[in-house]
Formats: sequence, C-alpha cells, structure tokens
Amino acid sequence: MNQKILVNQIIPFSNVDGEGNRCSIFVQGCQLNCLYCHNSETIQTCRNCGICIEHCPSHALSFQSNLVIYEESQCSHCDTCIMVCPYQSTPKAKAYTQDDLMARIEIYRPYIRGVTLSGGEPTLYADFLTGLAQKIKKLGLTVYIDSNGFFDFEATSPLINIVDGFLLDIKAVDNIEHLCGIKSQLHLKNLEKLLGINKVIEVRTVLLNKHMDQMNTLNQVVDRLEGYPQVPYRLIRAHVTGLKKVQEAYIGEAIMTEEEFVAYGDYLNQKGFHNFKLQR
Amino acid sequence: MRSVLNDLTSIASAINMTYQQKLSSMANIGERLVDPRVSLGYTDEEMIYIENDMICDLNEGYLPYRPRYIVPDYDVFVRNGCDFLDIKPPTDLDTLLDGLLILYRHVPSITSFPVYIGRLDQLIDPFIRDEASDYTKIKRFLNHIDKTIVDSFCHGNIGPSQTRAGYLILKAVVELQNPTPNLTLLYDAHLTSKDFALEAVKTCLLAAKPSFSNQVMYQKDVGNHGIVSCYNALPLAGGAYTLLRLRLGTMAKKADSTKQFIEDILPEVAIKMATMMDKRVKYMVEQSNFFETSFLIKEGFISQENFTAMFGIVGLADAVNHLLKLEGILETFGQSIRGDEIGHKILSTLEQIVDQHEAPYLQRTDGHYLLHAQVGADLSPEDKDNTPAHRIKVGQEPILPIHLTQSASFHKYFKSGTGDLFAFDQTYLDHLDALLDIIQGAFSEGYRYITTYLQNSDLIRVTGYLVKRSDVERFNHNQVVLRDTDIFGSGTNNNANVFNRQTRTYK
Repeated sequence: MNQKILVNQIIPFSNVDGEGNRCSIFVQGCQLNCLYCHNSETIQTCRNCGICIEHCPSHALSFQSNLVIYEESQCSHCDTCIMVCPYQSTPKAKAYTQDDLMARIEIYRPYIRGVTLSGGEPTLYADFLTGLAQKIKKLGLTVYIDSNGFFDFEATSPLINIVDGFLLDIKAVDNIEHLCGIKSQLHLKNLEKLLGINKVIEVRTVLLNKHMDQMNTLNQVVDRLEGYPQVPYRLIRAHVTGLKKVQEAYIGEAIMTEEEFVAYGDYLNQKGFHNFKLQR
Repeated sequence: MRSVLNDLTSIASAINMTYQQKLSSMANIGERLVDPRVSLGYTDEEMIYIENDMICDLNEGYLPYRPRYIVPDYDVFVRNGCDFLDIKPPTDLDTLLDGLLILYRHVPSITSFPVYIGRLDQLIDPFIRDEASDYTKIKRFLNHIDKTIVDSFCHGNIGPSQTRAGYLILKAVVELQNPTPNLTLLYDAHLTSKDFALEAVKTCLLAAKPSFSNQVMYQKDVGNHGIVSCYNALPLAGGAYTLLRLRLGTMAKKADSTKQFIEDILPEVAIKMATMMDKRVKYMVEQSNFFETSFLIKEGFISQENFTAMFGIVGLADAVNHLLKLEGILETFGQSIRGDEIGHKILSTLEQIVDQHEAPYLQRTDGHYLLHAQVGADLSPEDKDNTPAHRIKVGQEPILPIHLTQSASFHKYFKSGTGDLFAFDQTYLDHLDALLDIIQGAFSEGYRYITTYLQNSDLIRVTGYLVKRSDVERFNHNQVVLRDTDIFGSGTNNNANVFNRQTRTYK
C-alpha cells in the first residue's frame, strides 16, 4: 500500500495522550477552526504560496517545481514559517506511507504502551488509519484516536472497530459554530454511540469564557457520562501559549483565571460528578 | 598513582576539607607512598600504563589491607547478633536499627565507609508493629546514616516484593531529601507490585532515588547479590577485592587505526591491567591477613569464597569518537551506526580477553574478573577525555527512545554493573505510569540499571551517586562540605558536564 498521508509531527514519547507512555502521531488537516486552537498550523494543507520561504532565517525552505520543499537538516526549529503562514498550515508536514509510520513505531515499541492518532482530525483519514491501526495492534500496542467528534459514524466504523478507544473533545454545544466554525451536533451523538460500545477512553473540554456555553457543555457531557463510571472527564484551561497573535488578540481576555477554572470543578462536585481531572 | 610526601602537607593544611576527609585522605596517601613494584611486584611495563594514564587504579593503595567493596549478609546479624561487638540478636525495631548502625561502623571499604547496608525493607519489615511510630524510627535511622556515613556510595536495597517497611522507607526518603544512603529497588516484574513500582517511580522523581535494577538479569549473571556503591552488582556475603579501569579514551589517542587499537593496544593494556589486579588480589588474600582477622569472616557475614573483582572501563564514547575521526566519519558515538559497531567490537574483544584470563581466588565467578562500566569518581584532568562508562557524551545525546536502545545494547557486557541516568521534566510527576513504561521497556531491551531524576531538583545523580547541587556549589567556593562525594561531584561535573544532561520532556 503506497498511499500516503500528511503528518504534521510524530512525538515519540507522550505522557498526555492517554494512559502510559505513548507515541503520538499528529495528522495534518482539520475541518474545524477553533478560536483557541494552539496548533492551528495543523488545520490546512500547504498551498505552496512560498511566503514562508522568504522568512526562513535558516534557508531550510525552497521552491522546487512550484512546490515548497523543506530541508529538515537545515532547520533550526524556530517556527517562523508557522508564524508567518496566513493559511493555518506549515511547510514542514511530511507524507508518510503506512510502512514509513510503522518503521518509526517499531523503534519506539519497547517503551510505549500504545499509539495515539491525533491531529488535525484523524478521522479525516479513516481508511488509511484503519490499515495502520491493524498493523499497530499486531505489535501488541493499543491505538487511541484523539478526535473532535465530528465524523460520520457509519463510514468510520471500520476504524472505530479496530481501535481501543477515543479521546473525545466536546468543545461546546450551543456555541459550537462560533467557537469552532461548524454547525452540527454530531459530536454529542457520536459520544453517545461510542459510550454505548465502550470505546471512550476520556472526554475533554477546553474551558474559555465568553466564546462558549461552558455550563451547558459540562451538563450535556456529564448527563451522557452517567452510567459510565469508568470514563473520566478532563477539563482543560485554555492558555495563550501556542496561540498566534491574531488569536491572542481575539480571545486573550476570555482566558479564565485559575480561580474561575477551578470553580467548574467545584460545580461538578456539587452536581455529584467526581470522575474529572482539572488541567490547569 | 603513587603519591609524594608533599601531598600529605597540602592535605594537612587544606582549607576546604573536614577532619574526617583529611584523615582518610592522608591514610590513602600513605598507602601510595609505597612503591608497588616492591610491595605488590608490579613490573616496570605495568607501571608505564598507570603513569601514562591509560590504566587508572582509582588511587587504590599499594598495601591493600581490605577488599574495596564488602557486601555483608546482614541476615546473619538478625539471626545471631554479633559476638565481636557483643550485641544480641535484635528483638524489636529499636534493637535492630541500633545494632545495624553499630555494625555499619565496622564494615570496611576503599573509602572506610560501608558501601552496602543491606536489603533494608526485608530487614526491617518483620519488626514493624505500629506504622506511625515505626516510621519516625526509620526516618531517624536513615537520617543518622546520612550524617555519619558521609559518603553517598553507601547503598541500601529494597524490593523486589512490596512490604510495609518498603513504603515507609520511600516516604522517609522523600521527606529527608538526603544524598545518603543511595537506594535501589531490585525490580522484578513478576514480584514487584505495580503500586510499589509506581511509588518508587514517584520517589525517584522527587528524591532522585531509588534507582531500578534488573533483578532477573543480575540474579542470572551474578547469583545472590547486592547493589552497592554506585550501581555495582556484587555477590552477597562477599564483594569485590579491587576495581581498576581502562581509560579507553586515553588509549585510543595513541591509535593510528581502529584495527590497530583493537588488535594491538587494547589487548596489550588490558592484559597488563589483569595481571596487576591478580597481584592486588593475591596480596589481600595471602599477605594482608584481612580474611584471617575480620570478625565479619569469623561470624559468617562474608566469606572469602564470595569475592570477585571488577575489571572497569571508562571513555568508550571518547575512544569511538576518536576512531570515527580516524576513519573519516563525521559522526559521534550515540548517533552513529559505525560508532556502535566499533563500540561493540571493543567490548566484545575485551570480554574475550577478560574471560580467557585466569585470576586467583575468584571461585565465585569461575576464576574470571567481571567487566564493569565504571562511571568515574576521579578528580584527574585525564577524565575530561574519558566519559563515564559506555555513556554517550552529554550534549551528543539522541532523542530518548534512540538513546535507550543504543545504550541497552551495551549493558550485556557488564555483569558487575552498568547503568544510565535520565533527567525528566515535571510533567512525568502526573504520569508515573508513563515513566514506568519507559523503565520496563528499558529492562526488556537488556538494561541492567536505570535512574531518573527531575532536572530542576537540588539532589542530583552525578554518575551513580547523589550529591546536592548546593553542596557542590559550596565546595567550588572553597567551603568545607560534609561528604567526600560532594568533592567528587564537583570534579566530575567540571570534567563531564553531568549537571546539564538533556532534559526529557514529553515532546
């Protein structure tokens, strides 16, 4: 199989993408555009406009046959290319076949418990990742999908069936269009379906003032988690770290104080829901 | 290396040493005033390699009157007490801990401090009655050790199975934040519970100990053993007579080619070191009367039949880097396939040489010395060109998974001990299971020993032993510090930059 997908980044050892030590693979491309996205360069694929080439201080970028070519050995990893890209992309994403990715995973295999497919939105590449997940599972590793929840459940079922579970974002409910640019409630339906087949590892919500319906989102998630005591809910405080300047200008004032954030934990406790983690 | 009378004068009047440090320093200088050609029968050819720094004898003296490392079986004390010291067998936690503290004072070593203080949890656990008050006693016991055995090569073991005492020791270690005693969890995935292992991982991040030793692998290679000093695996109720080391980095500087290094220089120097070790062992057994006089022998804490000796190396990375240069390859050890090939060729050749050499009084290890990846506790400027053991030079480290796999492949040679250390960032404190995955993975790849600590902590692993950065800083400003290891720590950091190991973050 020589089909390739664009991968933004591979993190050999990650301790924040599911239990244990895991390899995380971040695919390039996402159908959402969330106000607080801290890796917005994963959203679009490169248009080969060449703006980044002019700004690269290490001359690691060049045009070849009208394509932007990235020379990793020249790169100083200053991320200037990402900062100047007006199209939420990166010239550094690389195309990988399943075998390319497996060769990398094999190197990390002894030290990891599994692989987390993240992004971007991994379900956009469901066919490719289904094949990859089959190969990873043969190594005795678990496979998790870190998803925004917006996918066609039926069409994605081969992937859902092969993986061990989902780390699922419920970013907002009523305000999802304002926050993420998508008019749909598919994420809640998919949460219900995944819970029903025991495929949810964790549900996550990033908390931000003003731009989302915090309380409603929490209630909607917690109501659905009733009856699934094994599934934890992680609340994450939105930060400015990793945001582009335009994003920061727009949402900076809506970042919660730690006190405001912790109050949501108190609220959940009062509500009788205790299986949550606060990521400050 | 031989000493001169002037060395005594400068130690006597030193401004940055305690009385105790001066005393043992001057005793050691005295032992090295003697000409080993006379006292031990070293030949002129052998002496050349000490004088040109290719062989380092770690300043072991030339009238060796006690083994370098002694690993007493402290169960003997629990069963019989000690006749020589007139102590009855312990009847409760107080008499146990008190008896052990007395006993430790009488266990010799190269530094005059005990390098092994027993499997503490197994010794203590049968005497636990009331966890709250017993905890206070255990904590006081450990603190007493830190303040009186002022040498962090002093090493206790815990595990593999979890005990109440094991948990109490870990709790005390975090609260005390002391460099001494060094501590190792003898880890066996089948015997060590996950909960105890995770508690040990947390403790190690918070207090830079315990380290993790591959109990299954060492049990197979060394039999019943203790982890002592830095991370040496030595036979229980015995120990090691001596430890000399080849400075591979220094030796390689004389090579014209990889072939010449491996076929000529390496065997020539290695055999000379083995014959010098033979002479040291013979003196100890035949002339020093240690084994005739020590109560440890008479009462069964140790027996001469359980002693081995350690054939050490340092500077593999420097040797390989030099040979790569000679081969015209612009790569460095740790990130070079050819470099790994050369490294394995050096060590497999050395393994053969050592296995073919018949050494005296080494029944316990079939008449052969055990290879040891020495990490350096030497203030010699020559150590600047000799990175500890087979470690990758600080600053030339690859990413963690590659680093682990590269180093794992070298652990097999070193039956009497090797280990690697990794500095992690704070995020792992919230993800202990991730770190345990890494440790278990390292063992499955052939690791013998692994240590972690938080990069920003005051307690830090130098090469195998612990120091406080703040103590080393004080010594560097010419102030007196409590431990001899603080002084080594200063020298080793100046040579090998170990305070700046790459921090492993989750990215």
